[in-house]
Amino acid sequence: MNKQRLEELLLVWEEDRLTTEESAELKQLLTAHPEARQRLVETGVLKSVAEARVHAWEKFGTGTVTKHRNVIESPRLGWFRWIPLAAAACAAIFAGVMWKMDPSPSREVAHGASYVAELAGMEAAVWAEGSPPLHEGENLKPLTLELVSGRIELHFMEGASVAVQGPAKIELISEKRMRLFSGRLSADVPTRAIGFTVDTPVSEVRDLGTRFGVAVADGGATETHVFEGEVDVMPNAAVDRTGSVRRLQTDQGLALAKGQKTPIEIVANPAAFPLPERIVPVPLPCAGFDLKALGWNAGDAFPPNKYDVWEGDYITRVGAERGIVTKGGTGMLRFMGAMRPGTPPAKAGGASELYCWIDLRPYQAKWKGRRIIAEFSTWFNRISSPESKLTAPTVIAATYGPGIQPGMAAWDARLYPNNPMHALSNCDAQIRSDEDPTTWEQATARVTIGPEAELLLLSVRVRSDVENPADRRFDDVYADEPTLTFRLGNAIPNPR
Amino acid sequence: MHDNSAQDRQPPDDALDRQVRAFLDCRPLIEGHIAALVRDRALADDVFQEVWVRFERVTRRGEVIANVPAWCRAAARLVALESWREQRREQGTPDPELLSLVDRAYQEQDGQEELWHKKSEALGTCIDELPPRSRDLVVRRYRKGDPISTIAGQLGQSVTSVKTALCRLRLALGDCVRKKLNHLEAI
Repeated sequence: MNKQRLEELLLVWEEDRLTTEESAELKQLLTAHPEARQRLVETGVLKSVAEARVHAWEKFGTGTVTKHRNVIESPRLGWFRWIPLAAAACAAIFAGVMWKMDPSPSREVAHGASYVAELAGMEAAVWAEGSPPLHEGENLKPLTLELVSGRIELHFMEGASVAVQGPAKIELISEKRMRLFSGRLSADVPTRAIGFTVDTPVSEVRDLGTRFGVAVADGGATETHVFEGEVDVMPNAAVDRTGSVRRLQTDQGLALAKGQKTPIEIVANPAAFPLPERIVPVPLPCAGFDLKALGWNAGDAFPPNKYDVWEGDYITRVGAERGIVTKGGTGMLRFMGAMRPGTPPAKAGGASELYCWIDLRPYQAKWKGRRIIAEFSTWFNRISSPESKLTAPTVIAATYGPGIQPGMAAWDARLYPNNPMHALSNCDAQIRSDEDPTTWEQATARVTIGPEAELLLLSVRVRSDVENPADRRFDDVYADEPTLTFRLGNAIPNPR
Repeated sequence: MHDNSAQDRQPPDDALDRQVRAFLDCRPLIEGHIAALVRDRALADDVFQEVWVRFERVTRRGEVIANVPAWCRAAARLVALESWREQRREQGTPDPELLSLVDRAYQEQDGQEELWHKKSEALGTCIDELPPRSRDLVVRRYRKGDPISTIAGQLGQSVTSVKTALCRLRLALGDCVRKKLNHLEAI
C-alpha cells in the first residue's frame, strides 16, 4: 500500500472534493487494507487533537500549556481539553447526587497558582478599601474582590464571560467556578465552557450552555434569571436538605431565600443585569473579496440601491500578483479607477470606492435595547510603481435612521446634518499604508449603532489628492479580508 | 402503572461515572468519526453537540450504555445523516459504501479506547514539539479549517506543494506517536 497516496486521498476526502476515480481508489484501499482503515481513524483523531492543541496554544501560549495542565489536570481524565466537558457532564448527570455527597462548593478550587480569569474590562470601577490594585487586562488567580461601584467584566479561562455590577462581592474559585456573596452579575457561557458554576449563599447555579443572571441581596436571598438556554439551580443546605435540582429554561427565573420553604418562580428580566460584552461576527457578501459578484466590475460609480452587495467604482478581483499574496482566501480586490473604464479623466472623481449596505433591523430586533458598536475593518496593501501617486486607504461606517433606503441619495446626505437623510453616526478611518508588498495594513472604523439606526453603510476607498484628474492612479492599492463585527454591550440605559 | 421516577432507574454512581468517563475517553474517536461522516467543520461541531446532548439525556434517564463508542457512533450517524440530508438534499446522499467503510474502520478499534487515549496524549505532545512552520500549517489546517487551495493562496505556494507538505507532516506525526508509544513500552 502506498502510504503517501492514501494520505493524499484522505486529505482531499476531508475536504469532500474527491473525484469519482479518487473515490473508487480510496474505497479500494480501505476495503483491501486494514492499515488503511486504521490510518483513516488516526487522521480523524489527529483532527480532534490538533484542534485542541491549537486552542490551547492560543489560550495559554505555546510554552505554558504543559505547566498549566499540571496545575488543573485531573489524574484520571488526563487530558486538559476534556475538563470543561467533564464539568458539564458532572453538572448534568450528578447534579443532585453530588450535592448530597459533598455540599462544599469549593471542591473545584484550582490548586497552586494558576490564573483563572482575565479582568477584561472596568467601567468606573471603585474597589473596596484594602482590595489589591487591579488593572484592565490583568490575569487573576483565585481571590475575593469587593466592588463598591461601577462595573467589571471577567473572562474566565474556560470561556465564560461574566459582567459584575457594583456594589458586589465575588470570589474567583477556578476557571469554571465563582461565588457571588452579594450584588448582581450575568454570565455568557459558550458551549466549550458548559458547566460554569456560580455559588451563592443559598444555591449553586450551574450553566448548561446559556446566558443567565444571578442577583444576591443582603441576607443571601438569590434570584436566578435565564436569558437564553438552560441552567440548573441547586438550593444548598441552608434552604433545602433534599438536594433537589430545579432546571430553568429561557425566560424563566427562580427566587430563593433562607427560611423560605418554596422557591418562587419569576420571569427573567435581562434589563436588570449588567451584560458582558459579546463580539458577534456579521457575514459580509463576497466572502472576504474571494468571490466574484455582480456589480464588482460594473464601475457605475454609484452605491448600490440594495442590501448585501458590493458595488461602486471600477474595481477588479485578482489572485496573487505583483508580489502581493492575498491576506486571506483566494482573492483580493484591486482598485482600478474612479467610475467606469474609459471615462474621460476630467469627469473621473478623486476616489475609487466600493459600497455595501447592511439592513440593521433584524439585528436591532434580536438585540433590542443593547448597546451595539459596529467595527468594520479591511486590510490594505500598496505597492510602489512609477505612476504611483499619493493615495489614502480608507474605510467608512455610517448608520442611518428609519425609512432611509440604500442608494446614492443616502450616501450624498451622509455628512450634512441639515439633510433629513444624513447619517446618525459616521466614521471615516484613513490610514497611511507603506509600499512594501509583503505587508498588509488594517484600517478599522467604529460606529455606535443607536436604537434608531436601521441602515448601515460600509465603504472601502482609496482617495487621491492629485489635482490633475489625469494623474490620479489607484491601481497600486489592494484591499482584502473585510470584516464586520458587532460588539454588544450593556443595555441602555442601565436600569440600576 | 406509574413511572417510579428516573431516580429508581439510575445506575449506581460509579456506573454513571464510568459512562461519562467512557464518553470522555473516546471523545477524539467520536469527533473523528463525525468529521469523517460529514466533512464539514461547522456541521461536525453541531453533530457532536447533539450526540452529547442525546448521551446526557439517555444517561440521565438511567439507561446503562454497554458500549459507549458504538452507541455514540450510531447516534452520530443518525444525527449526521439527518443534517446531511437537510443541507444537501439537492446534491444527493453521501456515498453509502464509503460511510460503511468509515463505520467499519472505527468499529475495528472498539475495545482499544485505552490505547487510543495514550495515542491521543502522545499525539498532543508531538504536535506541541513541531517547529514553527509546521505549527503554522497545523493552525491553518486544523484551527481555521482552511482547504489546501486556500492555504496555497495564502502562502503563495502551489496546491501540490501544500498537499505534499501536509501529507509529510501528518505521516511524521504518525511516526512520532509510534516512537513515543514504543518508548513508553520500553520503560
